[in-house]
Amino acid sequence: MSFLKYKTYIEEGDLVIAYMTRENMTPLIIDSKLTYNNKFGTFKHSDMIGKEYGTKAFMPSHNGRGFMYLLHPTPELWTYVVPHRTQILYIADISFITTYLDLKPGSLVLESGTGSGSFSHSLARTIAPHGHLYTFEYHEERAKAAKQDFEEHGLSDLITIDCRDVYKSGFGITDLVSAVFLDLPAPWDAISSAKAAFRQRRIGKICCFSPCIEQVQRTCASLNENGFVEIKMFECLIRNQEVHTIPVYTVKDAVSKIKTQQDKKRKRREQEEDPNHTTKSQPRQDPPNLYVSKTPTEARGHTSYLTFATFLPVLDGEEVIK
Amino acid sequence: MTMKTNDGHGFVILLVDATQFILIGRKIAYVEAIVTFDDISTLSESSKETEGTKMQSDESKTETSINDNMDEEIIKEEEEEEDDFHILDNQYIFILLPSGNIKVIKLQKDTKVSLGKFGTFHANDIIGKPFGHSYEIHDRDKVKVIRNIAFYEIDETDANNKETTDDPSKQKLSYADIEQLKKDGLEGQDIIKKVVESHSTFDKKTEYSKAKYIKRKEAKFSRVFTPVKPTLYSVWEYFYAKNPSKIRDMRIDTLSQMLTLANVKAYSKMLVVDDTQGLVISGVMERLGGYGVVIGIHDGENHNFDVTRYMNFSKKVSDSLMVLSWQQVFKEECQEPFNFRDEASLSEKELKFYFRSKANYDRIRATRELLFKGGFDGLLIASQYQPESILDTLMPYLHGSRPIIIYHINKEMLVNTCVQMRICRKYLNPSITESWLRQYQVLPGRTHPSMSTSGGGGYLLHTTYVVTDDSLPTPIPSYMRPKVDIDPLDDATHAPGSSKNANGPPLANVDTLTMNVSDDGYKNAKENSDINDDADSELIWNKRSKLE
Repeated sequence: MSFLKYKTYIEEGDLVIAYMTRENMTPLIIDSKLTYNNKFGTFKHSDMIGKEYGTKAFMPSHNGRGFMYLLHPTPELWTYVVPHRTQILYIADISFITTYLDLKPGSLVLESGTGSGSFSHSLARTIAPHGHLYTFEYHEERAKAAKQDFEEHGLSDLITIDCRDVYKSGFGITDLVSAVFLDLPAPWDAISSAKAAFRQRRIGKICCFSPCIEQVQRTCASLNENGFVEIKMFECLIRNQEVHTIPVYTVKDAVSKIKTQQDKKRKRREQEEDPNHTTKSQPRQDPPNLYVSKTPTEARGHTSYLTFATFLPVLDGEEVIK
Repeated sequence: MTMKTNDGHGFVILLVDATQFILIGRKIAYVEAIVTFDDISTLSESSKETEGTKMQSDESKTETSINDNMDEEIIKEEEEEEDDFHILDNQYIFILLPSGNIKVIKLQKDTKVSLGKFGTFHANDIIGKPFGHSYEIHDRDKVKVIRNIAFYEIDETDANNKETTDDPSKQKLSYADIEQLKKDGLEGQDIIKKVVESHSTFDKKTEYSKAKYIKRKEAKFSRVFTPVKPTLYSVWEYFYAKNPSKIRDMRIDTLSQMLTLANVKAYSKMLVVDDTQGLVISGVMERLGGYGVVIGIHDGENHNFDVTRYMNFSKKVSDSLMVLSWQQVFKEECQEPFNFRDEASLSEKELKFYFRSKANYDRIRATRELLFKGGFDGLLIASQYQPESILDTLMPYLHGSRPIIIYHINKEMLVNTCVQMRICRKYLNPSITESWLRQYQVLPGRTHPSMSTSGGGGYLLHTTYVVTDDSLPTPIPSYMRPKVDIDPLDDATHAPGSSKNANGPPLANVDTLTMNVSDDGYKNAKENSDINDDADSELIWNKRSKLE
């Protein structure tokens, strides 16, 4: 249950994210009989038991020079380590969607497709303890793998996963959810079925996640035809800012740099001429430092377009979709 | 957009939210014709005024501090099934006006709500209705549900705007004429219809221009309003449009990232330093859902988490918030002692006051105890104060492997903190990110990014607190540790093999690690920027293999 509830100390059977570097993380399920090996060395699981989460674990075998951090699992870390990765959602999108769909403990949500189940983890975290996620995946192997992950992570009470082709057979859910998230190649083919899934007498929000603008246009047309209102489309990104410290030299420093070089030459000459000759070089002053930041040369420029719309509650006397 | 007559009376109109970030059309189709000839001017001036002042006083009340009456409100609120999908009595709602402005009101049953020039309606007419629909005011103060639609397909025509000139004489109706129409009892779409009919070259406009023209008239004459459900998004939208500096210019995508990065969820114990009028606190409280606790640390003596009350939190959720001032956070600052008195000796009035201050004393004591006990699951900071000083004060109360998220609209404030975090090694991979958001207009044939947008969403410094056990061997062997007296400009120390370090073999770049350890190595920070992020162990590994 550690995805849903924080723990302080590592115990047998816990999921731990072993963090070597940002690019190198591994999920470990603690089993005192096992040993974990990586290029930094050998770690006994039994040595990790009883440690506080977040502890820097050192390997005795390498004179304590190799180490890793034992991190508490979070949906965001899981995104980095999920073994059967498909296209994953980025944190900017995850965050914005969660807020826009007004998700909180108790929300009932529909997601399609499940993919690697990484966004499902984020959703389950937010809607716990009494919300529910209905997630759909047409790829049988992926659905199985995701289902297994949900079970291992204690999320099966919160997530119902269904393997089906939602274009053909719809979601098979009516009058139930308040939020829908569609990450499908052709969301417009699933919108009418999604409409029926909404709690019919309440307001609801839908988000369609598509990388191409042509998909967005077709989605908007379909949302409009299906009576959704307040169609809004966003793009969001996170830009990294690399922090550096740079020395601030003045032109005087440039002059003294030349002088130093000249001094050196002169010294060498003088020493060649007279080996006993010594001159004291002037100690140089450190320039003041400046903390600066810059954006990386190459950065992510696009993830997907987020198309949002509002489901309008059915009015008295209107037909409820069954 | 083509003007399509639905049934001979009403016609399709276009209403575009003109608020800062809502640029996509929200059009409204009339379910049925609404023809009203009641003279709206018969609405007595006096009643208008009373409504007006009432609204004003309500508005001004929202500006004042809420410390005391919030508690009372919470007590009044009864345990009921959480239903935030319907418009309820005694709750805050936002009202989207035809002009695109948003108004906040506290809905009270059996009262009238004035929307200024857009009219007045009875609160009872919308209480109990689901959120989502729009209403049109007709017959003075009656309301009618409007079935919204997103947009109509626009038929391309051969028209162009060749004839469009800036000539007011094309509009045959004068201001006085329109005022007369209003006096004659014409309302909303009827006036717009008349205005359009009186425009001599309206037909020559392109369909797009027609739509824009109607949209403009709509903002002026329509009497359609939309009750908006208070959500984190809509509450933010209101405050951001009204006074962004009050919420420290925090944009919703940045706030959302804070909540995600901080892994805010049920059953957590969060620490929040909030100088955003309670916006961050509101987000955290909502995501806790009443399961868990958040300590909000506020500036000044009394908290001013104004935003929280617009969220219509249930008692359960409201109870998860505990507050402390900065003074109360410090252990050495003792709590002002409480003067316990004999309750029997007090008059009823004094007793009321006594119980109140006693409850306050107990609350502060309990909150302080909770804080000092520590073991918090995350720290969110959106404060005017120096982040390092906040971290120094609050870090002891955090568990390991828990997130720290610091927001600031000025990156410069965070850069220094980021450098300090790298030096002290209690923080895993501290990084600064900037949030970027762009909204698009998606209309058939007219899809493009919004013409105006917010210039920036602010910056986040985020990291994970890690536990370093001092009893364990240090990760950097002593001979690899930089010498404090290294002169980064002295060429001699840089030359390979010339290290005077007697404790170990010479190192090619002995000061590559200084970025992580001391202030001395900044000269080399630039060239080693790729390694000072997080790859400590990798770096050491590489060093090791180089050595061997």
